[in-house]
Amino acid sequence: MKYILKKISTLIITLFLVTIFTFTAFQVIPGDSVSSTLGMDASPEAIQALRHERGLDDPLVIRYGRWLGGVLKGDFGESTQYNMPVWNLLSTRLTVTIWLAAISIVLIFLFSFPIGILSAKKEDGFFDRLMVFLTQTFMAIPPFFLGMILTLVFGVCLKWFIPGNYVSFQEDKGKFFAYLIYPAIAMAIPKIAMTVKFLRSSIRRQMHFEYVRTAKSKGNSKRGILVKHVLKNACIPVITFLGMIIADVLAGSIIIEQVFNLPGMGRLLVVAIANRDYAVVQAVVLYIATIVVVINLLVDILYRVIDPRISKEGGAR
Amino acid sequence: MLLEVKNLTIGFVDTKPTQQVVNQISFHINKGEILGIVGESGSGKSMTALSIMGLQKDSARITSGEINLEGKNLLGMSEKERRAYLGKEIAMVFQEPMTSLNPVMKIGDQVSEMLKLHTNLSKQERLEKTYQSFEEVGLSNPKELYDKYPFELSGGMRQRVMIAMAMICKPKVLIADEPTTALDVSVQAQILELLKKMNEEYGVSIILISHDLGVIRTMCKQVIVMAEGNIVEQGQVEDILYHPKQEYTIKLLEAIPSIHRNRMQKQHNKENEKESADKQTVNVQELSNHANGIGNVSTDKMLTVSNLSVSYYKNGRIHRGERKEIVQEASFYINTGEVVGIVGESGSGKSTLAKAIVGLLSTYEGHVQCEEARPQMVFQDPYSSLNQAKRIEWILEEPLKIQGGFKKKERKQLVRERLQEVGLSEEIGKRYIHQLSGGQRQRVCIAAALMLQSRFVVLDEAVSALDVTIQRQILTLLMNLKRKHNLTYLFISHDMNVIHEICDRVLVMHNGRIVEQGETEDVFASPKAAYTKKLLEAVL
Repeated sequence: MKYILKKISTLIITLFLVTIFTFTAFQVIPGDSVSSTLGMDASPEAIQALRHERGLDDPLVIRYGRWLGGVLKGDFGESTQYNMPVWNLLSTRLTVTIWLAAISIVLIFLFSFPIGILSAKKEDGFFDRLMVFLTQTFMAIPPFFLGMILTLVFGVCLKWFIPGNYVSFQEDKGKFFAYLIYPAIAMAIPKIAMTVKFLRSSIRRQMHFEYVRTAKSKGNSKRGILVKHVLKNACIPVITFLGMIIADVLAGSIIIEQVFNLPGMGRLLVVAIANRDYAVVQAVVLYIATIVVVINLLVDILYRVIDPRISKEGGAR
Repeated sequence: MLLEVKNLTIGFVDTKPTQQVVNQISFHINKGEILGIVGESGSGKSMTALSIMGLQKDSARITSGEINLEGKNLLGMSEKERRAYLGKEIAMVFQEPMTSLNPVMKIGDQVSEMLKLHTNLSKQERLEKTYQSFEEVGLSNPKELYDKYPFELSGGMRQRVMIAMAMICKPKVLIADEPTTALDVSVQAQILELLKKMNEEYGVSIILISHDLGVIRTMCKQVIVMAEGNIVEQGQVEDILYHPKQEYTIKLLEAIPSIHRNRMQKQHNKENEKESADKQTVNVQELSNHANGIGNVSTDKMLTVSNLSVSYYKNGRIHRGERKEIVQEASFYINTGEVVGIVGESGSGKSTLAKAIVGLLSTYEGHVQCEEARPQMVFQDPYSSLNQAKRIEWILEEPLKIQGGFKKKERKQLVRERLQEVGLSEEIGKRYIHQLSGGQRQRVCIAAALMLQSRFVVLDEAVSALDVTIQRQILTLLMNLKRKHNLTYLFISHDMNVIHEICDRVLVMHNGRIVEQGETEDVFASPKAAYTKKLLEAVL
């Protein structure tokens, strides 16, 4: 418990530092939202007026304080491009991105564990060899390319969905998911390949430990050995890896959203950067940072749940 | 006849031609009997035991033979049929209780898993039976213990858990593969006693595999001697240990350090002993006595240690953790040319003391004065203490490079000389550590320690991991080197026999303190400290 509190306090400090960096970084970059709103030919007076109106002529510290105060209350400021609160803009996009990531993550878990276990069950058997080949292949294919192929096969040829189309969550939940499943698959496949490869080698390594022999001497079946004894041990290194994968999926759907023309966070970020809509950019960066840090915390906690040696040995390194 | 092994032949199929590791062996064990199988590593004794359980490596194939349990051939069964016997009718206790238990599974769950696999007991019944089994093997507080993990237990406790696990289904045969080898001496005796108790109370037949003739002698009536995959001799323990007929058995008996041999062979006629004195196995005791007789031991002090204390803080934080003393106020000296032994169980602080002396520890209190600027250290496990990615010659050359002042040609020459000196051919230098045998690896470590002409070498359990006959060779080598270069040794070991054999003086450590020190003969003949007495009693 003490450990978790300590971890959460470092998490808060980390996020606080992230807010400072993101905020100052975008203040230092030349050009601001005023020039993109008014255009290149605006008079200096007009620019000055709008800067004042948007509070951009205040000192940096004051502007940061104002922004942070808002963030803590859930107010991320006003988008200069859409002229609406950033939060309203984010909330609809978040639905898309988080659902997309969630489906991907479910797919990763659903496929990588059984495939990894089956692969390791019969070392160098037909299934194992096939999976080694497939994981090698799919790891090398970037998601956007997979996305294009999926669009071609299921959208253009089979006409299971209309390429480039999108149905929002509010309109029709069924259709919403039907459109999300393809980008989710495109994102998941390379990650599944990596996880299978990692899990398989971790299980194989574990199979040579002596406790496996003991488990066998008790009369366990091969499956019993794998599921009851090896899997938990083999998962310890895999957790870190999965943590990185999950963070990556949650934060990294930018390209796939472009390919499938989905109105998610990734699309929002690309457009916002182009238009110097810094309030939006800051919010998105903060979202990504929070995801990464929180997932890391969960990984650390999960570690201790699975491996009693870490928590019970106290601070021993 | 309970279990019968008939014409069993096992070979490695991944080598061409198939390499035979067990060759046409036959033996049997009756109900309630304890059968010993003795032999060195590579003799095929473990392979035989594992194949009874069906646990041999995938690359090892049983090419012919039968293993009959009460008349049923285990080898003729399907894997599923055979699994019903594993744990229920035949159970096994392994050498390393730490790695043999699942590190992330509760002790209790690991034991009760046996019941889950082989009985229809309810969860509550399984729980109670597990508690009961803990008590049977002498583990108190079973309820508390149930939720513990292997790393929270001592080696002896873990081995008790292993025995509880193996015995919970009341099997007919228990195979114990070097069950005490990884344990401290005093714990060894307890575990053997427990195995004997299991045999007497439940009538379980035990196949006890050991390289230690002392263990075999105290436990078994029947014994099988194995070498290179063959049974070289089998029969009653008294006959075999006191009247060995085969040359190999004689050699094996000779390799046992002196305390054993004295005890065992004093009853034996002297003529036989003389005849059997093999050219290869030089009697180390004679050697060391000889070396001392020449007068190499001087009164010049090689090492003076005064009030040395080492402590650390749990949790690694000064203000939070409790202070733990590893070594407390150790004071002793070593004369030039002397061999001083430190004996003690694991956790007694002997290795920490050694590290402080050679300068591997940065923080300690007290004073260490060493005449040798570069005291060297040889560790127990040569495999993990040498760089596995480099060739032997590179490893040996490295200290010369670091010191500098040698031309490349000189360095190569020195490496060749050292290799030769430790009894290795020049060609060995081209190899990697994994391509060498255990004895060869330890020779490399010794060569590495001598590269810089150090006069003082600390040997930390340097022969503990080796087979008896190899152990003998290494000890002989060490003594020869000592004589040649007038070396001084600090010899750390948990093995009373080895200490007795080669040390001039001995320090006994217990819980970080030196509880006794003196001439080896005096300490062994009339120990003063209670702990020393206990240690000597525990020696089988």
